[in-house]
Amino acid sequence: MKLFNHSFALVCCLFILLVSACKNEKPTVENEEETITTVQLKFTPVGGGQSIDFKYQDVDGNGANPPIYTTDLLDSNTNYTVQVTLLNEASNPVENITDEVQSEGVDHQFFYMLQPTSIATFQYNDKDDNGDAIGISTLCQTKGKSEGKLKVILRHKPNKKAMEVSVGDITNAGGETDIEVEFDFKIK
Amino acid sequence: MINFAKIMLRTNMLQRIPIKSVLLLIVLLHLGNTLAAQDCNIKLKGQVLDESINEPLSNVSISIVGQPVSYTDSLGNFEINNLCKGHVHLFIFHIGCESKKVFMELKRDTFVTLKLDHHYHAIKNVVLKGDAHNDESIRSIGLNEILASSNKTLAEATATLPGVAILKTGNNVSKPIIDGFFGNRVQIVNDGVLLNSQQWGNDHAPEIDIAAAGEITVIKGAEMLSYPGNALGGIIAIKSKSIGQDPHLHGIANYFFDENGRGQTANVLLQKGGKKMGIKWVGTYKNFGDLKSPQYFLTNTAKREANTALQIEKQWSSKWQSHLNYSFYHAEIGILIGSHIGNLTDLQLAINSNKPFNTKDTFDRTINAPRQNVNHHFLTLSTNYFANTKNTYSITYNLQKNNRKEFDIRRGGRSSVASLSLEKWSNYLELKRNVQINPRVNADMGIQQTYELNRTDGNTGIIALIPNYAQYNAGAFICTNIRKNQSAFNIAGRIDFTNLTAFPITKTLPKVYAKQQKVFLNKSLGISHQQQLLRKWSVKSSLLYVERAPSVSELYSGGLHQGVSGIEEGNDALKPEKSIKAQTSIQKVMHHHWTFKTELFVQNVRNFIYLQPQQDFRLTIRGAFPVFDYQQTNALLGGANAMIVWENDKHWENSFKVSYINGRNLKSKEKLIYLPPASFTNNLTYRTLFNKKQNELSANLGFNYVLQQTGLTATQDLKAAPPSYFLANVGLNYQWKLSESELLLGIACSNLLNTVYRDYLNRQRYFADEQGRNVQVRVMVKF
Repeated sequence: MKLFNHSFALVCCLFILLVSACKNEKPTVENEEETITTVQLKFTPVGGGQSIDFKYQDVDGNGANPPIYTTDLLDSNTNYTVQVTLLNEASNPVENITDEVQSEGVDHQFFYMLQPTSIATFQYNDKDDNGDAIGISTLCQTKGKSEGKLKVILRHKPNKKAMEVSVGDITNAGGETDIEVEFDFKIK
Repeated sequence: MINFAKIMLRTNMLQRIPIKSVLLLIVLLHLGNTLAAQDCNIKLKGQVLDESINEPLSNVSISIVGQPVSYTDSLGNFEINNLCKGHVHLFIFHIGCESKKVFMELKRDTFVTLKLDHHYHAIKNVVLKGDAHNDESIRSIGLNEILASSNKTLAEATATLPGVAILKTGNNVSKPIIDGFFGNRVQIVNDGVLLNSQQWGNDHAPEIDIAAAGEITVIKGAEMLSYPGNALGGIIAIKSKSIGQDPHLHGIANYFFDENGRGQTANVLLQKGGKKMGIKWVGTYKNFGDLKSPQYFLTNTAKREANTALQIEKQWSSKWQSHLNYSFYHAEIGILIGSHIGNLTDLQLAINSNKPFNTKDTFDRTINAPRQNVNHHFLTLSTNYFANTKNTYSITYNLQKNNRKEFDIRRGGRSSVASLSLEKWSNYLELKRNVQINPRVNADMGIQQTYELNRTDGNTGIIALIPNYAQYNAGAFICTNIRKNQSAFNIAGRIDFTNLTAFPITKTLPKVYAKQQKVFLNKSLGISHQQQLLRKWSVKSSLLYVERAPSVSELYSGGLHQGVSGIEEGNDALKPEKSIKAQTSIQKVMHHHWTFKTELFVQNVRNFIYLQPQQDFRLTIRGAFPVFDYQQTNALLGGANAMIVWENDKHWENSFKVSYINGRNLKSKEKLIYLPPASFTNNLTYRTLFNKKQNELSANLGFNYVLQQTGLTATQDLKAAPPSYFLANVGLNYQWKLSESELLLGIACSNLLNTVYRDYLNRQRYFADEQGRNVQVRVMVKF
């Protein structure tokens, strides 16, 4: 029985030691560096003039406060160059994510989808290292006065060689969605 | 592993010595001292009985190296003459039985009674034993089956048992379902201690290498309460076999080649026993490439696994015995690239695509993101003290460390940075006493403490789904066995105290980790009754009341769960689940040839915790995501399993199984999701002996028919349940028995018809077909 008592005491000590060694500390909130909080579309008329900004902003991320949308009216029958800017405004200083997407251009592609499709057209205006479109820069041509929706999707690791993907059809692209936001699209 | 019976010889004349062994009982009788044993003139006589029915087994071959082979006669008797004094290995071999090697020390003429577990293919334990660990609600798979499936996962190996199904995420990740329950409601007990990992995730497989197991059993009766964890469904217990006293080095080497996935699996087991100490080592390595469905490769489904286990047994004295078990499990698992999807739109696209996205046309062995990397350390130290014939005490200490990393396809070169990284430590201490109150009553009682600590890695750049937490659990149980004539009772009760401190992230701004504390007290009670009605009828019933405290994931998870493409929100108001389960099994054996067995159960769970999809989608910058909240309801489940086995004495065996289960959410009146659909399985085996009955040829043909799951509404699932399917498989094994070793060559083919199908319980069914035909070659050497 003596041996039993000894080993019992030993095992208990071991247990207490390990339990007390594992103090649980309150963690600090991670810096979610991959987060994108803001999507900006800058519409600049090709012939010069006042540019128009579309903006989606959700600084606190998933849940909590809902996102804020800012849009403006576009002119009819006008050619615009459209430039995308992605920001992480939750981090300090604010991070520009566009550069990260640009440098991994072969793994990313933006898709611009209009509803109804007839109100304007989007055309890719940039190329990745393989000569495929990225869509950070596009050309937009508006038609007559109308109202609709513009959905902007950023796909990570899409199959850029799949059918119709190169002209902006997302159907066969696959990959994972990094961004999917929808703006009101109004032409005056 | 070979079962080495412990043999103790005493000098007393005509002394009966019972020897304890799981599958073998040996009684040695001293035949008389007058024939003073001369060196090589010892006689060994004996009888071989079928363990399950206690009837003699004829035609059993018994060999000793250097001696001609002997066979048992119609009364099961055998005799070997002219043996020398000293150590011998008895090699016992019978068609359809697991071969046995018995080590013994011969000093004089000896009589042995050997019991072989002949019905291991069919249903066990026809005979009433009344021992808590040998009752009807325990179903097990033995060593031969474990060795034959050691290239598979724990869930796949146990799925052959009635009432057990598999929940899969692709072919590499699978977890067992018992009577419709899985995850937190099914516990896995390794070497008497609960496996403590991250079992909350449907895509988290148990960290067990079955090659180190000697026996795997499913426990569903009252004796379940002697383990912590409050398993509502049941327990899968993995036991390693005792090393025994054979002082020679023995081992098993097992190699598999799987054509589908070009997978290689190698296991090596080495062991050396002794009177004082025994040691055993097991190593496993698996390397699989991309699997293939009948029409395309399942890109990124490669897998590597490397495991090792060490077991040391030490006999300090006749009263003291200790053992140490250490095992390490390491796995790198690729997840089908086409199942990695973002928001609802992606999901819809992926589901409607007839081939998974990003499928490659060529075979590949590399594992890219999305992938999992899991390491698990498991250390047990246990000491038994046999105080007297009535009392046995034991102390068990266990330490586990689990490290789980999940990698996603990420931007900015971060695919090599884990997007989920959890480290969990657990400490376990158990004190147990077994007391034989009188010849009819035996009781097990104990106290168990567990302290676990979970830490998330702060460098992932993603807020972890599971928060940091510490949990302390103290439990006490008593499990009593009462035997009376032809019946046995098992009464068990346990009480558990749980104190949980967690640091979940707040749902409102500003987002911080706020300390939360929860205390639970759970009580569980169970009674099992087993009755042998007539000689070949046996009925076992049990009634169980179990309470289970909600787990951390159910209380505090928060965030995007990639695997389920949804935002999961914990609910800190959850109360413990309270389950009542009634089950009965009836078994009848007819003329030694037919066995019928039926199992029925009904289970009511109050406060049943489940994920309820919410009405509104949550809009994030990545698009819309469905939101799932943990909620409680009352649930009712019921099911039936039936099995018919027919055996022809010599060559043929056929087993037929049917299983059906149904469950309902009593509040929403909907069917529960992830319940196994009804299924039929038939397996026909032919065995024959060659070459003086030393070599065995066996061939089998199996069918599996799984019906479509019905009764689910369209809103309950992303995609309708897949149609019913039919699978066929064949196998051929040839086993040579050499003088001191055995050699087995096997070839098998699963999904023989290369059927294109999807399984309801595979979460990858939304995206891809199941694995196609696989041809497997196996070589095994036992020595």
